[in-house]
Amino acid sequence: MTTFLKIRRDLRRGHFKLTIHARERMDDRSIFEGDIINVGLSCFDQFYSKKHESYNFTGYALDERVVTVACDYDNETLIITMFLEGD
Amino acid sequence: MKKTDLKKFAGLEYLTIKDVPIRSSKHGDVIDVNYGKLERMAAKFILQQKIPIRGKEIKLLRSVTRMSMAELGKALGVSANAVMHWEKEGDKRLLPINEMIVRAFFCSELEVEFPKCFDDLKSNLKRAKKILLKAS
Repeated sequence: MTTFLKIRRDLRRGHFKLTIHARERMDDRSIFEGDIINVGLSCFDQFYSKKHESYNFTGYALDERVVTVACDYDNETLIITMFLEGD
Repeated sequence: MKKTDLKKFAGLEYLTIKDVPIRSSKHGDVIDVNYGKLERMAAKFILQQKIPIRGKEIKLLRSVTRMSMAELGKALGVSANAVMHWEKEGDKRLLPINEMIVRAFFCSELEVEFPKCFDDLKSNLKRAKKILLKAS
């Protein structure tokens, strides 16, 4: 299974944790963990960022806002490192 | 084990969650708690403690139950636009009848006992006062 597919599977299943930075940004923008799962379900774009060493997925929050989630594995645990509103 | 406090949790200006376990990673400090646990704890607390429900609280409650605005609207017998309007007016407390319906629905979804009577909804509080929750 490619890393992208594995991450999408883990996102859909809620098998992830958040960095404090990602949590604070989510709180500022009223994005919640259920929205992250929905991004995994509705993802329409994905790419790897060499600069940030993260896998990025763009999809829809539960209220249909476009959200991009950046994540990476750390010791087998999927970590959400950042999210952005928009694509 | 390292711990931290998360202030203004879920965008709620009155809510701090204390003693949240964290661990280091190459991407910075990670909240070492499984998906949904903290948000669900905050949502249940809001319902159990009869915190005034505004748009901001509805957003959290809706997300914890993984519902879209349309799905919530359908469940409550209102339009998706009505839900969107409530959430857009984030700081405005719902009308008492709407608050009762919203509270009853989410109490059922999250298996929280519904407050006993209307008296709990009669307060003039526009929003909750400062709250501290403990993560562990």
